[in-house]
Amino acid sequence: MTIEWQEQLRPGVALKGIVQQATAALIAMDADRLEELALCCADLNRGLEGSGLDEESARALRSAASDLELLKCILHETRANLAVLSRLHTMRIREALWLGGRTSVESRNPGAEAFSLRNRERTLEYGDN
Amino acid sequence: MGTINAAISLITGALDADQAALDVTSNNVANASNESYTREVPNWSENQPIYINGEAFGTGVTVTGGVSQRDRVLNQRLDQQQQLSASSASLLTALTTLQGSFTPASSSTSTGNIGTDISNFFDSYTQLESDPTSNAERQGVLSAATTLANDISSTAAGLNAQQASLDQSANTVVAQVNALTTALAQVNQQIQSTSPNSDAGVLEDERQSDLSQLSQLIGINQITTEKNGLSVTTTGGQLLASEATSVPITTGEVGGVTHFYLGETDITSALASGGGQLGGILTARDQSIPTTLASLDQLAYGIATNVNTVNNAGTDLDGDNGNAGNIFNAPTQVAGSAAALAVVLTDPNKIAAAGFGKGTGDDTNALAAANLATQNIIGGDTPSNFYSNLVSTLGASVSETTTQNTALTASVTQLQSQVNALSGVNLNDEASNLEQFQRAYQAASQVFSILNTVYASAINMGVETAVS
Repeated sequence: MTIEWQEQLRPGVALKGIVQQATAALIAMDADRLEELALCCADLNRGLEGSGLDEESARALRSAASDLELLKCILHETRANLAVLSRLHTMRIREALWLGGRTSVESRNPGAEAFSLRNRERTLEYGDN
Repeated sequence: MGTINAAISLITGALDADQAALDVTSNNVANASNESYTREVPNWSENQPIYINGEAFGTGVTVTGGVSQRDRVLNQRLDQQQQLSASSASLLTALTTLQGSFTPASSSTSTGNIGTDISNFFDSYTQLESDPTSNAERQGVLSAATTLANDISSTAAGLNAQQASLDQSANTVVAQVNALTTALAQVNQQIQSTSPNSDAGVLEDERQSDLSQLSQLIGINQITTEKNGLSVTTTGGQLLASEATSVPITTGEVGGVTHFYLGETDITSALASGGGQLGGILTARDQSIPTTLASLDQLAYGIATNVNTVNNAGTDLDGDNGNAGNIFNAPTQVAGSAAALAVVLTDPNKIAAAGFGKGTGDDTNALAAANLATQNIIGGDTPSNFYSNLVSTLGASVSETTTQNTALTASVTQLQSQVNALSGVNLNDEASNLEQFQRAYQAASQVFSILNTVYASAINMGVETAVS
């Protein structure tokens, strides 16, 4: 998961960018983007382990502190929302399963049902004759 | 069953059901731009089958109106977050205004900059020390003192004016809250009488809209009651509306600011911590501004009393020992010192630059006054550091509230998108539903047409039999 700016910019600046993008992704609850950014962080960590922190990088990292604080707060709020959202997710899955079951027995589409019943009636009428 | 009549009856029901489903979808499309509207889906209900000789025969389908797609738990969570978000937003607005009253000590702007005023005032004593008998230097001290006193007192006046403005805003918000709780009680009554056991559709939308507006204004708890009723309390648990009855918040003045009551109980502090716009306004009015004003009072009191003490300990240009008088008006208490701060000394000769009992050319007392700048005379700090801390504390509060407000706004966005997905009208979905129901209607019509032909054939068969 390589990003152009990740390779070109200094680690501190890259971190600030990642944190800001992660904040936006978290607000939009974009799990795919968050996973991409997590991989970027892993790459960044590997890069830092090798190179060590110089003065400029350390300063840039400190400048990302307020962005990190905001990400932390939004993470906290998102976690608090999760109980409600999980409940909603479960409700939707249950609804989808119920709808799936309903479709399989071909019973709720009024048109299809009418045709089906009509065939039954026709059979019975033929039987009567 | 098993007759053509039964089949015609069944397909007539299907046509009615499709028509009703089309009506529900049409209503959704018509309300697509209505923010408070909750999407409805047709409530399909299979008719009871008939059993003949142990075999079940279906009797068709009925649509019993639309079912609103809402989730009360999700709506309540959104309301809660809106309360917190509205509170932090109004607090942030007030804190930003409050911060604007102070120019940071590091700023290069000199006008209205109390930090610069403090430095200039004590520097003017350093200038006087170099030439204790100079009338120009004495005028310089009085001029710097006047600028400092004016800036402190005008800032205090600004804070008092902001507090009064917030007080007025709080009253306006409470009037809106009372109107909403009255409306809520009326909707409650309608819902309980018309839909005690099911979703009340449009009325429920109206109630949710009232709750949402209320959540913007004040912190509330929602408690569902019997027969689809609802009670609303403040976050402190005081009743605002119970089913068909609302309890208005009343007001009374205490210590120059409005206090709010439910019955006999003063709920002002509970409202401040409760949330909503009102929570933010009251937090700023009762906590942020008084705290800042108290610091400003402490600064004014410290400078005035210490400078006056020094001036009365020396010898003025007229040769008076220990009787030069006050430079600033002498505050009797800390509270109110900033707003009342003024220079009372008009004669520059009465500035005591010389030490007690020393000749008028002496500079000992001017030096003592200049040294106050570096002494921890206000709350354990020098005057400049004390002011600097006041400004930086305020800046930290603004920064913290900004972060909090951004996070809460994000939380509201997350929840609102879920509510929109569940309850909002998606025109693509509705177009798809229209297509589906229209086809179902056409199919039922076709069945009806076929049955009609079969029925006519059956009648003709009877006629032919009779003729032959």
